[in-house]
Amino acid sequence: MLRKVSVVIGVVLTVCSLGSAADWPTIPKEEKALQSVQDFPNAAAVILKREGTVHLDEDSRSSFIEVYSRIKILTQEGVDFGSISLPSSDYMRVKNLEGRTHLPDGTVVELPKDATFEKEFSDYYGSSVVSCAMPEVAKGAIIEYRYRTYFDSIFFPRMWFFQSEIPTLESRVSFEIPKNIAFAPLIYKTLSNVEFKEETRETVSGGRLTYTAFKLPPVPEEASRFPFRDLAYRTMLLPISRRRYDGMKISLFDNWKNSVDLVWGTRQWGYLHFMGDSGAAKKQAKSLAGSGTDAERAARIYRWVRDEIDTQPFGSVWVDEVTADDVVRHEEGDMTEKALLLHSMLDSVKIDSDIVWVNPKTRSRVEQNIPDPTQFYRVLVRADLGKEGPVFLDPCDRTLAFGALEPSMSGVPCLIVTKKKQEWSTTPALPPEASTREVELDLEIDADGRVLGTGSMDLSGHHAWRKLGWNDTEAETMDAWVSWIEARYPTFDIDDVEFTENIEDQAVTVGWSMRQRDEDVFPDEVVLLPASPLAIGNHPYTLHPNRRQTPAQLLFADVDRVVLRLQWPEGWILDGEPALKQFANDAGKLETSIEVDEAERTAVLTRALTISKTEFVGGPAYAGLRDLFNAAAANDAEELFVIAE
Amino acid sequence: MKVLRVWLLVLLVGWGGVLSGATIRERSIDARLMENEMRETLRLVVSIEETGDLEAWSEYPIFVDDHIELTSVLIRVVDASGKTVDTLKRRDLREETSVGFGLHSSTKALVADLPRLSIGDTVFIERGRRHVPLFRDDWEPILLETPQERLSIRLSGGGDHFRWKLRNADDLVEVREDGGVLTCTGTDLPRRTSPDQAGDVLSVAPVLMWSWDAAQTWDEVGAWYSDLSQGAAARAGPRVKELAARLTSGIESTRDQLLALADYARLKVRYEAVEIGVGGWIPSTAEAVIERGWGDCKDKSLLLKNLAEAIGLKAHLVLIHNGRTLQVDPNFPSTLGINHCVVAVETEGLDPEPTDPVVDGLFFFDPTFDRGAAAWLNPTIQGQWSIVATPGGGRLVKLPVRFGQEIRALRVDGVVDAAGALQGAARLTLVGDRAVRWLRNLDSASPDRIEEDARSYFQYLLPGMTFGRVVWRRNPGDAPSLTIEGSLSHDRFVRMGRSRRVRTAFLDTLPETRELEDRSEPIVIVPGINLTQWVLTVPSDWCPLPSEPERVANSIGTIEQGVDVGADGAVTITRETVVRRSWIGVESLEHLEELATAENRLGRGSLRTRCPEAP
Repeated sequence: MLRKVSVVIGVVLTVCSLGSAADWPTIPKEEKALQSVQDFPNAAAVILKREGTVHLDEDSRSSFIEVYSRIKILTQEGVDFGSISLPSSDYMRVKNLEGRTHLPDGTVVELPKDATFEKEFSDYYGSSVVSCAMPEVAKGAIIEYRYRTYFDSIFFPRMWFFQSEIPTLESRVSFEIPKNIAFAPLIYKTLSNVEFKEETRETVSGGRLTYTAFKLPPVPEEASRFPFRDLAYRTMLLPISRRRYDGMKISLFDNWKNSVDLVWGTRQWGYLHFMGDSGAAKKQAKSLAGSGTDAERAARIYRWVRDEIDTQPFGSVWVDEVTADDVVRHEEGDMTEKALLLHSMLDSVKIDSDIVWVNPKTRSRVEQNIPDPTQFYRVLVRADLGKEGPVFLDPCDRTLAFGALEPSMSGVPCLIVTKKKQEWSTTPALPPEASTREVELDLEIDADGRVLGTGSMDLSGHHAWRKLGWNDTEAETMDAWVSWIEARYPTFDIDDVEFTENIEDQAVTVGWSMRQRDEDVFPDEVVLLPASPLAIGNHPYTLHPNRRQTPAQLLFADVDRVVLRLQWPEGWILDGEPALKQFANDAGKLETSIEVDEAERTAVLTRALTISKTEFVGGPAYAGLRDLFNAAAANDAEELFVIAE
Repeated sequence: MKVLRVWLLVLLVGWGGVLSGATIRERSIDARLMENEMRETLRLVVSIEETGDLEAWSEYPIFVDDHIELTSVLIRVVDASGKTVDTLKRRDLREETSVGFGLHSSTKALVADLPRLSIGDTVFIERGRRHVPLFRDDWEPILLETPQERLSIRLSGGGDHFRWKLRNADDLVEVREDGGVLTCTGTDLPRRTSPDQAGDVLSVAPVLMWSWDAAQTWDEVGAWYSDLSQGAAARAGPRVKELAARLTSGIESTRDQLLALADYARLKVRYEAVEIGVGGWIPSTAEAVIERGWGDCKDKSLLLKNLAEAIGLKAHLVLIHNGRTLQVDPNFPSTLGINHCVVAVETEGLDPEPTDPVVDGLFFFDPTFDRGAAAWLNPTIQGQWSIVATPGGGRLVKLPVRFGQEIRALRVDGVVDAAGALQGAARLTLVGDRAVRWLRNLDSASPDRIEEDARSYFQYLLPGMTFGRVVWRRNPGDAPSLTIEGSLSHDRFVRMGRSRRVRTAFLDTLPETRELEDRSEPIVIVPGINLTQWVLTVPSDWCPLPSEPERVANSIGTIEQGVDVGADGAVTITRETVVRRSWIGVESLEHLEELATAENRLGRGSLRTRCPEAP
């Protein structure tokens, strides 16, 4: 059950706000008169008020959040905010959704009961979306809605986002905390100039903690920004301990050891339960492992779990009452279950391995000083292969080789969680030279002025991973490669396309022949773009660094390299050399060269763009990224002219 | 995760068979056409041959909705040795309800999970469905994206109203009609491949279409929909009249009154796709739409129709296809391909402007489009056949393509120095559909974000340039329009070699010629006017650029390029491409290729200064 709750919670909390009792709150006159938001003239809508009250039940069984939101529509685009969608599931149950619209003339229109809908997304987790169409939403209208979300565990939900994608005038969250549970409040003040209030008071049942933030800007939509969860002004309550009826104090998330212990669970649930029923899995492991080195044996088991167990794409660190043998029997499991199965199977053939918690950097960053397991979305396995060292394994992607990780989980902090100890580490990251696109072009110009020749491209590392399993079938992949090449060489006929994919080497190669089309042949001039097919036409990092508000992240570091070898016929010459650029800074480097042999009528042009790092925090770092891409775009637009004398 | 559910893709793009390398050994469809329903059984035998097939066939969806019921299903997986390794019946199917579009849809996928599928297995699928359509028609593609060894489509029943059409498949299948039974059979059918910018399967691929509805002509199809929607239309009450009176109060001309009503339906009623009951076809009453303030295309259209009628105009609902990639077959009266509803108002007493979207005495409105003025017609319904539903009988009307309202204009003004460097400014004006996305951003995104996008777009249009300050503004007019301007520079704009070379970027619009070569299917392109102008001041001692104008004109459009030298010595290089149509049939591909070839050639080479030959 814990696992299933954790899957949906992140989504729920990004949309929830707060609600209250039977009567609707009074809307202040100034909100009715509001036409636009200071400093955000283009805002389509503004959150006038978001209010959430989290009622935590001391038995953890009937906790709920009341959510209330009031939004003013400022432009025609803002009417889309009249469609409300709320994630729901068997474990986070949205109930009692009601709302109404205040028209500019003062009329109030209630949300009809028949305008609320529910669509189920997956029966694996019973997840669905509850939605409604608010009535008569138009520019100038104010919509307000409220609902409750019931849940069964104090472990979730705790994160409250004060900010949104649109401006927020007031966002408030109250936590009604039972006496028997101790929480540590955490406030992430990601903005310095926000008015923020804290109130604490005792209640009959325990305490009430209220945080209110005023006049919050939207989280900026900027190219390659950090995830919303990292940037938003937010708060959370971390459950530290609870006191049982007999007075005994039970530790919850007060340190990493206790947090990990909770997830490991008991013989009845959690990791211990999962591994406690693993006879069939172990038997399978022994039959698969065979002989050879630990690496060879581990790889056989890894591939079986990766390929033969169907992956349900839901992540967290929790498992509930599922066991290793359940997963083997049903031949399917979620991403956590598959990782634990792999761990169990390696253990059965005496290959030491550890369970590793990791969070993709595309989701959010992990704070090591907060002992909160829900920060992590994925579980990996670190296998100790003796002399060959440790290797991190993700058995949930059929296009990942033994020991390869997808880029969002490479080079990120991770927590190794054995039953006895917890240890921070970092997942391996590939250097730029290990994720490459290497293009070689051998072209000649014939006596008619036609360009023809061959090209090839080798992909390695993360670049290869992106194209492995690119399409379901070879025919589709072939079509996709032909389209990819043709789009970059619009004046050429592309033929003889061949490609190979090697998952275990994380390598893809593609080769082709190319011949300039008749109508594009000029008898006295050839124009080529030497950076093709990897030329950067335009890029998104065009905002001046002084105005960039958020840090940028790229998925991985890499090298794009093009080598063009060109030969031209007698009577033709290179008409001036292109102004190729060299550039280097902290973000990376652009290296180019041209070697011309006039006697042989050949030229070799090279262009290599290296992205050295993936995080660009602060104006100077972003400026470095922008400058690098500007240099590459300017270089890549340089054309090569070969003309008949 | 690099996981995309194949069957969801199927729903999105339409059934063309699951994309895979498998082979369909047998595909048999038996449809019994009865008075009010169709009983259809499908037998599919599929060989799983490569790794990709496992992903493609491990989830088999059967789509049902309020009008389609699953009556039987049996799915078996047999391994290479002939042993049955998996059997699924109705109770084993997993129901997924999130497959429709909008807030609510009755469409469900009943999914057969086959996780133990292996290469070498054979999947046997037998399922029956009962269709209760409002209009009795249907269709099947002949080719799928999976090769088929044997195809059989058998249609029986249907009675006197039964009619059918086989398109583009004469050399693929054999058709026999005997005793009221139509049989269509084929063997060794290849997989269907779709060229770039292709039309939808229903419009261009080999298909069998059939109808057994009493409505046999377009007049009758229109009358059918008029009758079907009459229940909702008849319930238009006093609130509609009151609203119409209030909205038109103080407006003198009938045309302006109508535009005010259209603006209400467009801007005050939010678009929401909610299919309830028979919501796929029957609109909610105008009263209900006014009450809740939202509706889908037919809801908004009926509201506008009723409002127009309230001020004494004659208005009709219009069935149409929204989207450029599908053309309703004018020679097969049916509802096949219809996905949208708009409104036509009779122009009698209306005194329309020459620029209004008036065809055949009808003023067309799409109340789902909330940008531009009401008289600017949604470009994605232009050029489409429409069925005007009038009480006594409908009629088929083709909407014109108003290409003159779809404009991209790029102008670069600059000064080139003796070293070939350029300093200047670029101005891009977008009119019509292409402006809509930008205008939406202006009403929602931060100025920084808009500037980021604008500068990046300029980089795309004018590679190699460095851009300074970028500004933008909305333009007046019926069609959506805005202008983006930015300063620019290039330190080697003119290449100094044997001669001085200028490579000026232009707004390309036409497909690459290789897309047209040996093409046997129509191509779908974006109509409109694309104008690029470079106004360059060059050093006075430079030799002139070649100035021979080039022009190609045919039934598809024109392309024209010229170089003029003004009295002040400024060189103006102008290229204009006009595309008058969106749907280019096979018969017109030659003309399109002629234009595309001209555009490609003009864009590939460089302009070189030419000094007068020495005497």
